[in-house]
Amino acid sequence: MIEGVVVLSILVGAPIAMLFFARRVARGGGRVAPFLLRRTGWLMVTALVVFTVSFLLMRAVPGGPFDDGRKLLPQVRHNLEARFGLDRPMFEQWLVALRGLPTFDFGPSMTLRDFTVQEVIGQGLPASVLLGLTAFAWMLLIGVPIGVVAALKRGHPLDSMLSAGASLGMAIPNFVLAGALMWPLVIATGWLPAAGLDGPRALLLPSFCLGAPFGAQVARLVRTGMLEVLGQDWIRTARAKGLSETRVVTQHALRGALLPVVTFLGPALAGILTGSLVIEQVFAIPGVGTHFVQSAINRDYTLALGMVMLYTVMVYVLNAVADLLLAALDPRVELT
Amino acid sequence: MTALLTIEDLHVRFAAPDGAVHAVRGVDLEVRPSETVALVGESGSGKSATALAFMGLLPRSAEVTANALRLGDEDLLRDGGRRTRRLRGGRMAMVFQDPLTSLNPHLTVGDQILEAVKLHTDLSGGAARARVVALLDEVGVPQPARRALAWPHQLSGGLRQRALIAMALAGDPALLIADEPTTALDVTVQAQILDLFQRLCADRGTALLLITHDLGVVAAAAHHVAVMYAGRVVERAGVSELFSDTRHPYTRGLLASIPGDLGSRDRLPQIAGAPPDPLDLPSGCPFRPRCPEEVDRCAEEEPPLDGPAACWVKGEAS
Ligand SMILES: Nc1ncnc2c1ncn2[C@@H]1O[C@H](COP(=O)(O)OP(=O)(O)OP(=O)(O)O)[C@@H](O)[C@H]1O
Ligand SMILES: [Mg+2]
Repeated sequence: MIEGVVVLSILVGAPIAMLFFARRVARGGGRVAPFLLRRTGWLMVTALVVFTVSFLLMRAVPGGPFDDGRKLLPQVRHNLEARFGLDRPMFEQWLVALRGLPTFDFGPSMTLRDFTVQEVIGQGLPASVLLGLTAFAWMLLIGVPIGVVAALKRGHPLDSMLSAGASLGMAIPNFVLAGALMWPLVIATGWLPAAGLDGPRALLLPSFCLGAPFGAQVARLVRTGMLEVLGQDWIRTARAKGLSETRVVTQHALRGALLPVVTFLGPALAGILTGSLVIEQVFAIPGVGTHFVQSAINRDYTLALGMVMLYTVMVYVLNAVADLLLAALDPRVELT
Repeated sequence: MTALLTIEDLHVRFAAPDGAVHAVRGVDLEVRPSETVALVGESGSGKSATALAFMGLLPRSAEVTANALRLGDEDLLRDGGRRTRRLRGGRMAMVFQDPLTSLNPHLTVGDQILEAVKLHTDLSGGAARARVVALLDEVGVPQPARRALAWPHQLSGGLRQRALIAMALAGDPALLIADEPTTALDVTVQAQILDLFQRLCADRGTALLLITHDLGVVAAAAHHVAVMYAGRVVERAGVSELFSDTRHPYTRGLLASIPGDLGSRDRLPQIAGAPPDPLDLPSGCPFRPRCPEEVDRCAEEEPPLDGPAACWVKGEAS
């Protein structure tokens, strides 16, 4: 249910957001269409390279999908390999898989044999996206206000406290944070469920643990950006206009101070995606992260390939969105 | 006529690592309605600090004290800066030195002017937008409707300064303070912007406090002149008196080093020696180390500005 809402809102929201950014960029003289074409072209090149390299590497490491400890009759093994086309020449296998790439139609998983790769992704992705998005929200929710307050209270004890907290937060790995928060919030009090993803309450702790370290980084970026912007001449112009201090901050300073955060969004999103692999394990969340690790361990060629390509495309597309957003916020930025 | 801008005994101190910089040390200044007053002096003499203190735009680290800061009969010292903020951009407005950095790069020029229009007039929506275009037109921006949609980086320095002037006019100010508004511009553009200021102030009856390095500008545009040195006004006169009956040796130095006619648009030429270190002012008159006319008394006591000039030798009214 909740997953359906998420998927739907992304499907509707993302294009609207893109359109909105694109219109702003175009109004500032930026060329959106060439940018999108260029990025699409590069996405295809990148995907092909990543696809081929992971295809070859998987087959190069020792072990195969059917070497899971059980002894298989030679005939059974042969049948299995034939069924997945593993008896074919390498190039033919590559070509078959490549044909499935645009739709992630890599056939059935080699270990979860009742499911196709598409199905595995379809079942796990909404939970992962939900986790990632909530973590992303935490990141901004924690990072931006703390950064702004620290900058406005520069040199004040509150600033020192917040900045020290941010440094600490950046250094803590998410699973350590999870362990530390699990005790007071789950084990001792039972306030929050320990595992799974039944309802919004279950999402709270895992997404916080995933997002908070990035929030700490965002806080530092916002503080630095804010201090720089507040020293600019155009802030003085805004004050000279008669704007209240609140409006100077929200309408003039914040926009500039958030630019470094937008440049950080690409790396942050990639970090959240990889971080969710760990968090999904820790909190037993039925997302795609678990499959990412397991498919590699099990040499599940088809599923692993699907996972790698999924993450490649997500990181790539999200980076393009972040770049577009940056250009929308700062008309001087050239789209490349 | 009562003064529009009144500054009495203004002091500004900046906290510095090695003691406080006493940047403004007891400035008195008046600007009457519709009149242009020039504030001149070498770099670091406290011109900007004086203007920013009046506008309430100094950083919080600056310590400002004064006997009086008034705009018309509004007492700017009374309620901790709230009144100043309300008047800022409205009855009093300011234009700064560097148009390239004084506009927010992330908002269109029109939106930035619109903000001021909405804040200081009752206009909203389309009427406010139309007002923005009218203001841009008034300050001589060609194709004002199109320029309103431009981002600052798409405009030249001269156009940006015009846009900033339009922004300052949004609240129909009685007093305009311009802090070296042409210094950062090309020489040809400088003259145009100055003409614009003169025309606008004449048309609208706006009083202008013009901070400048350029004595040519002073001669052409100002009614009265105040010369600042080391944080104080050292000479004050009507513009013709200043040039015909120069009192203070510092002002003389400034004038003497203008090559040829007064129309020269050069920066203030160097007088022998350097301005004093604000952290380590000489005893007595701060101009003494550079003064050709020093007498014994100059080392003992700083001359007050009782007559036309703060000088023990030349200060008497004639
Ligand atoms: N924000 C500040 N912090 C510390 N010191 C400052 C600050 N602003 C100005 N000062 C100091 O105050 C003194 C007067 O500066 P001010 O900017 O008023 O000079 P000015 O006459 O406007 O010079 P210029 O012609 O270069 O603009 C200088 O010594 C300057 O170093
Ligand atoms: Mg100055």
